[in-house]
Amino acid sequence: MIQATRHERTAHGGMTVYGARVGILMLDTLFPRIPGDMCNALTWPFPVLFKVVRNATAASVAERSQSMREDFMAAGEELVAEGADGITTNVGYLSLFQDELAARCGVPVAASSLMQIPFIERLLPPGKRAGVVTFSTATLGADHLEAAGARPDTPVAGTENGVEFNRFIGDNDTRMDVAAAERDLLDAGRDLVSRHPEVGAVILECTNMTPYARAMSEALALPVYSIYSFVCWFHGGLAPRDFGHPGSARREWRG
Amino acid sequence: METIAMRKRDLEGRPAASGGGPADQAGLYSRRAHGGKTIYGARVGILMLDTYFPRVPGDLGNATTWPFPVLFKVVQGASPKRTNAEREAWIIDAFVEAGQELVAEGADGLTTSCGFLSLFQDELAAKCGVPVAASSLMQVPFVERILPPGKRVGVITANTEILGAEHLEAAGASRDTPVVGAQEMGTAWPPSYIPREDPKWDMAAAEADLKAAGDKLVSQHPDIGAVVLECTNMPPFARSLSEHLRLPVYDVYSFICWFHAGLAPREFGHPGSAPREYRER
Repeated sequence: MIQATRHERTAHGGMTVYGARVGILMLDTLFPRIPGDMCNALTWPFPVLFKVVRNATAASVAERSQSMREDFMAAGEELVAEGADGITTNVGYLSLFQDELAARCGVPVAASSLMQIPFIERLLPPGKRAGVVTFSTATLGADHLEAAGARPDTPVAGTENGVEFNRFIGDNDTRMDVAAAERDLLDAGRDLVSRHPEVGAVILECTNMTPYARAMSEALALPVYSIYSFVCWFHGGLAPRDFGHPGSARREWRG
Repeated sequence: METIAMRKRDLEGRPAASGGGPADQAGLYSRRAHGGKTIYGARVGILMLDTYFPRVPGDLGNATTWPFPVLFKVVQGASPKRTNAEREAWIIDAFVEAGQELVAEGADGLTTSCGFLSLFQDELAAKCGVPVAASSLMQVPFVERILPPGKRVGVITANTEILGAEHLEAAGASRDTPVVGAQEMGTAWPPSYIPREDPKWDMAAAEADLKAAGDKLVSQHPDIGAVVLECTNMPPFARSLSEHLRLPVYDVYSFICWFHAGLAPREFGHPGSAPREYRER
């Protein structure tokens, strides 16, 4: 039996910031990030810690810059020291950083939305596969998929033939046409399922795609998973929900 | 501003068939609603074993647990004993039939009230035709992937007399996954042993036994980096266990919240979202 004791109001420390369990490593960008985007704080139903990796751009990701890689590792370590109990990133291609980030930071890491692919595939009826919508099919290589535990022949479509989604991100434009960006996404989704009718669920690689996940799910009549679903799940284990009485008793506080 | 206006003119010239997204059609069709099922808004269907023990907030079988609506269906006669210990052959067919009914009624994905039913995953998905998240155990390989090198997942089950290598393998977990049974620690688990005539459960004892199982797991396996709870009666204690062990704890609640997030992605509103036709399928 758990006994209520005079110690039950003891609080335990050991870090700087409390209550924010997930740390988000961000590229250094200026384009708009609307609600639903991973780097809009309103997106999250729980507090998070952001850290911008200075001078890390979409171009340095595509070029696989070694100095950027080191900057991500150092920034991850800083987030953990500040209070994060788990780390994620705002670039789906950084499945390539998963192992090194987890080793360096010593906490669970959910580097990329792509890591959901094998998990989702396991839930689908036989003959159905998970398909990916990515920012650029040219950038997304077999190594990104393999680093995420996904098969290299995973069906993929990209937004690179659209007019707005890749433009505002690529140009780092401080204005975007949201409706046009949504159209680009839905076009890529339709392209995916028309070329791969076996797709039974979609994974959005890019963290800027989440605002349109609902619209895509309705347009394709398929489940759509994103960095939002991934990090909400991730957080669900880092800080399990307290359901209160009678399952939960008064106890010492640990952040 | 000028460049955006020019871009919009470009877009207007595109054929509607390839470019016409919901935002374009907002004026004409955005209030059309699509049907095809009976009940709307509840995307996850929960197949319940036929039980009578208490299910408190946090338990998969307590409706207040869920931050979204769900559909429940009890598989009559499928007691934990007949399903898991005696493995009566008719029960899988009854689950499939109940799952098909839930899908016809409105469920777009299915789960079950028992972690041992990873054994039903493939047949349920094949015969119900929707994504199935049969058991919390299916998270084991997923959680293992996010842990630092050298760390692994440990499982706490309600009953190690039931949980075997086949349940783990059906969930995609390795046979040698460390497992401890809460029933080894006292008399509180599994709740399916609570007598029907006097269905009371000491929640404090259940929590204490679960923490003792956690202690045993990490003392036997110091490389445990996260815990997965097999049993759908365990989420009420997940928070307390996580604080006690200083480890992440995943359970059927985390699993089904994730599952639901793909079946019905969150609507973030303006400006990412525009008025459009209403559809769930």
